[in-house]
Amino acid sequence: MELKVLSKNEVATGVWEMTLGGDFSYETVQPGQFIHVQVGDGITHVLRRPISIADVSVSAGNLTILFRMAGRGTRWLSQARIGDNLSVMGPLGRGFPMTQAKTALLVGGGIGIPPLYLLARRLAEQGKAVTTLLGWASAEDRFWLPAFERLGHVEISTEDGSLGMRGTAVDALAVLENLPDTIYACGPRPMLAALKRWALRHGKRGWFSMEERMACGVGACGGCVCRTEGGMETVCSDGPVFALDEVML
Amino acid sequence: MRAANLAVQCAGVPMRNPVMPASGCFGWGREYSRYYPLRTLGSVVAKAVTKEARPGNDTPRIAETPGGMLNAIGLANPGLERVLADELPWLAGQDVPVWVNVAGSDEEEYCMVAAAIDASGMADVLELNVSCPNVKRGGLAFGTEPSILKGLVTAVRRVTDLPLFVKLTPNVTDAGVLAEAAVAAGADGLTAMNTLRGMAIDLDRRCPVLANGQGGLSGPAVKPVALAMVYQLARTVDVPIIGCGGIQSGTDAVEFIMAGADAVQVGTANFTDPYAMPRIIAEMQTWMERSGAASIAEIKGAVH
Ligand SMILES: Cc1cc2nc3c(=O)[nH]c(=O)nc-3n(C[C@H](O)[C@H](O)[C@H](O)COP(=O)(O)OP(=O)(O)OC[C@H]3O[C@@H](n4cnc5c(N)ncnc54)[C@H](O)[C@@H]3O)c2cc1C
Ligand SMILES: Cc1cc2nc3c(=O)[nH]c(=O)nc-3n(C[C@H](O)[C@H](O)[C@H](O)COP(=O)(O)O)c2cc1C
Ligand code: FES
Repeated sequence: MELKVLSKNEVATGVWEMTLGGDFSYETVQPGQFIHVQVGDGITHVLRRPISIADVSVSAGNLTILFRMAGRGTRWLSQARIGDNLSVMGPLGRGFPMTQAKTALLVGGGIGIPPLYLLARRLAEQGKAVTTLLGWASAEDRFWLPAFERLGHVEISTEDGSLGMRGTAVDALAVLENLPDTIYACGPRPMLAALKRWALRHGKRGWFSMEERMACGVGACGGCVCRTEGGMETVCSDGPVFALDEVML
Repeated sequence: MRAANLAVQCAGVPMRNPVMPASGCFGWGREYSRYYPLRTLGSVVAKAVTKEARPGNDTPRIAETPGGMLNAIGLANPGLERVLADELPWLAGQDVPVWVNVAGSDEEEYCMVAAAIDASGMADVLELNVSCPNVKRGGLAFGTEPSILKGLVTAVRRVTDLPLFVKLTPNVTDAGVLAEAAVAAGADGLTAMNTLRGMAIDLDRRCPVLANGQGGLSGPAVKPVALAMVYQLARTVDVPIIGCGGIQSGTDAVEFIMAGADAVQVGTANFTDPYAMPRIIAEMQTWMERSGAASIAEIKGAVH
């Protein structure tokens, strides 16, 4: 389907926020699901780019993505103009299940942060106490911090120590006073691996969103697999969200 | 404007149109059935089946290259037993001919899988994958040595009466020799072509992008190679040829028919656009009607 670019903003150097509108199944979007976006004419770039849905407005009929200019495809996307149409598949994948517990801990590193926003908003709307640990390389890389702060308690870490504590989002676990019941995370693999060890040690359950290179986006090509206790599973359709005790990192 | 009829017969199998997916690029069909009914297509081609389940290669399994992509999936599939129990029954109920792509590490495995799929009654055509560049044992070796290919096709021919297509690799000096070997051994048709061996390098990590090192190149970048192969095979053998490689549009498909193909397979284009095949069928129809071609037979081999 075609979605129209309604707005775009560079929210940090090389990180773009883009709102897309048009015919889309907004009401079924689960936090953690993604869209698969065609870049260019489909000949130079034959593969679409998976981008998480960071926020959705069912009433206004639009969704928001946040993406980092990582290479040629995301550069093309960043150059789309307001009013341009993008070819989009989605919502794809299985998102974060909503917890029955009263408290949730969200841990996001860098460009893994976007899917956590819609999750934080939905959890807060259900009256859960949300604590979010956000990690960036440096203070100037941060985005959407006030938005997260409106939804609950936030701890920040940066690798260079320019904002919050020095280290990764996982290092901020040390400053938590109360341990929440359910953990949700998205970010670089080493961050997730460290978090998994911590969660197992503290007997916590939770969910990780994984990244892998994708072609079809619908479970047909077998390109995007990740190893789980149950065998090889596709990130695009069995995931991208997996139970933290099942995914092998 | 005359109405064009896209229906074709391939090795005795009637098809509504000459467009079908390329193996491995359409899952088991189910994944795309939410986009359109599968009977829109001429046939559905399932992914490679081996005797035992195969996990496939490590990731990254995919890399994008200019005008194409590399893949090193590694014949990942749930194995014969589960394919027969979980995947083919659904596909066989979709009112569209089913092609099953068969792979193996030795002659015995190919024969065992082919015989079991034939016996299930759920396939209309078998396509032998003798050309997968992404597995260590088997696959490519069968498709590059004429005498080995002849032995394999002869053996499989003995265990099945289903139409038998052999999918050839472009990674050889002379595909014509392999084609002749396959046909002499009893193949009913040929698919040309599988992927071209290729590689991409990640400068920052100073290593190949794909965990497997090398992979198979597909997409628009390989179309001229595939066209030339179809053209050559059409001059070499007298069996149906399925053109495959880089087809993205109705006119791409018509080019393959003109080069001598009876039907076409669409792989990578499904990833770019999940509606690629219905669009290609509609575009073929439009092109044929505009240019006054009433049937596929009228344009087949036009450039020879
Ligand atoms: C489920 C999922 C959700 C994602 N959500 C976001 C998001 O919300 N915001 C964001 O900025 N990024 C997100 N990413 C990462 C994003 O897909 C890549 O940054 C993007 O594909 C890079 O494309 P490129 O052409 O700019 O880079 P190139 O390096 O030129 O891309 C080359 C190829 O590699 C693939 N690729 C490169 N890096 C990645 C990666 N990290 N993950 C998957 N494929 C990659 C590309 O898709 C393309 O096929 C997500 C990835 C996945 C799997
Ligand atoms: C992700 C992927 C998986 C594939 N898996 C198979 C397979 O299982 N068996 C096979 O015979 N060919 C396989 N192929 C090759 C395709 O069927 C086809 O021959 C090739 O991609 C060229 O066509 P295209 O350019 O339209 O993609 C695969 C190709 C891709 C891209
Ligand atoms: S991208 Fe094809 S299976 Fe996930």
